Amino acid sequence: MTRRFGTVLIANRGEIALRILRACRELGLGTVAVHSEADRTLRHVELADRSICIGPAPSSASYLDMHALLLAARHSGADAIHPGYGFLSENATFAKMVENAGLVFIGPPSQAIALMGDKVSAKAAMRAAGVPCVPGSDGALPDDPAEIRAIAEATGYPLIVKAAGGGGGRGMRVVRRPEDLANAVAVTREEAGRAFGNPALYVERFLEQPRHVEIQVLADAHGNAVYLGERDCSAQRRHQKVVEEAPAPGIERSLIKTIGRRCAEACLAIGYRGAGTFEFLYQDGEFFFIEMNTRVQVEHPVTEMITGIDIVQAQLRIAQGEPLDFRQQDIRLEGHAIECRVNAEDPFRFTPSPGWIERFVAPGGFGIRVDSHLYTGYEVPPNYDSLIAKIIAHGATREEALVRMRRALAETTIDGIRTNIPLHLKLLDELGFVEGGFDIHHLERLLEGGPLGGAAR
Amino acid sequence: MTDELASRLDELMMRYGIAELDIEEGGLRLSLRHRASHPQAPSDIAGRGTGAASIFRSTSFGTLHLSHPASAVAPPVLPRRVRRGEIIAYVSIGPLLRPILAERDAVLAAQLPADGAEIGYGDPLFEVVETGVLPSP
Repeated sequence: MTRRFGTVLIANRGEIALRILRACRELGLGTVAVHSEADRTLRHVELADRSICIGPAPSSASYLDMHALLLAARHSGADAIHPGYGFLSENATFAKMVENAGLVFIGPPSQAIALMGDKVSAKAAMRAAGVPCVPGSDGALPDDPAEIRAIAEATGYPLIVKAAGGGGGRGMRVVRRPEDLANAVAVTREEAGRAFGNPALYVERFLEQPRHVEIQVLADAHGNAVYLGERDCSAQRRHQKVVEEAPAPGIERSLIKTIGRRCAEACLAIGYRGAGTFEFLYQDGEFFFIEMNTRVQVEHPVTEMITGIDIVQAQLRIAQGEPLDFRQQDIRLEGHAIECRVNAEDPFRFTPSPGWIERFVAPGGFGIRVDSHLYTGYEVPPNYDSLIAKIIAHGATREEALVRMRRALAETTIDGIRTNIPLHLKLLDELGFVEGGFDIHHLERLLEGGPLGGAAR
Repeated sequence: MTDELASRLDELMMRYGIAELDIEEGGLRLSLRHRASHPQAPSDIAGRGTGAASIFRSTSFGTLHLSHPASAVAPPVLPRRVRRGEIIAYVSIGPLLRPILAERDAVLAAQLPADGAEIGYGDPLFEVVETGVLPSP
């Protein structure tokens, strides 16, 4: 449902809550900050037109309490809810409850969230829309060895045999040669039955050195959808993004154009509305769809910096029923942007480091943007995600953005807690990072016995 | 109105700390009373101890009522003794009325926000004296 609204309830916390509040203010919208008992001192709580403490620190009794959020909206007169990222942002049940309450959910329709939230239905929808997926078996492998061989041939080698009920790296085997297939299937099937109580298996093409490249999209309720270029989020540790940049270094623009168009068309095919991100693995000139995030991403600022488009404001305008006021051909990518996620944690052991901020001085200067809820005297609570700031550097080239980012990180002062800024500074000087185009295992390799691992000792 | 619905409502009352529920529909009336329901108490109970002053905090958010809004009864005079589980105030959110229960036996010594104030979860409601002689009004 889209319709005009006057007051937005911000159902989130930290930097994204402040980001949403700022976007609302610039559009002349009222704001209601709902927060937990541990978050009374958040910056956006102080700035909002109205704030309501809805529950204790545990997220389950505050930010994830759907009934409390709806009651708070009713009590405060808010007529729209922005879920931010995380928490309930991709919960189709919550989106449906908001819709049923006659409020505007600032995000896609609940049906689209449900469709893209299920990996099987999401891949089927993407295949139907012409978005390339990782080749593999459609569903569980049959018992007949000849049929399995045929599926493997169609998938291509190397491939990975996976237990349908598996997870955590267990119940999977990489097969590089056809002659090893039968044994790998037999062993994995036996292991899957024993470990997960489910012997069902499936196969997928195994990508040895993929990069994580994602496409940002915006779609309105009037049949318009555009893509805002790509982001490279390959700098990851344990599947958590650490540094993101846009555009992705070294990928042909024609490839981005082709995949971007398909993503925009897929939005129209599935009735998508709002901001969204198609996540891909990229290897050897090919994109393979992993999943769609039906919300604003943590790393959205790098796209904003190179396109000049305020993605959160676009979400609000789309939810109000406004058509996009630009077309695909109007979107120009200018320069290069890099984002470093600053976490309250030990830079090399990664243990959380909540506590009082004795002194915070944000970096600044030309080409630097800081999205953060920090201030001197703020206490980082131990209850939530450790992200405390995003430092974004923009330059005419990647090299210029890197120089600015190094300078910005070096002048940032956060006293009282440990942060991962020392890790960022080392990573930004690492040869592979400086060259760009590294795969998703690069940072892990550097940390495990590599130059960054040495920094911990 | 079915047993299944009543059971579901009972479950929701427990979950959201709703003590009383009255529904009238098609000539039928359902009244549920839940003396045991007690939402998670806010964290600050500093100063608790014999004779020590402490605070009872709100376990909900909304508009504060010191007496039931449907009754014409004036709010009780303080100080007054209350028993654990006794209703000491109400909070309304639209048509929903939630009771605030005393989390332990105590004496309510002073009311902090005014009747009709907007309150949040964990906001101080009453200054409390744990036991002993009633303080002078």
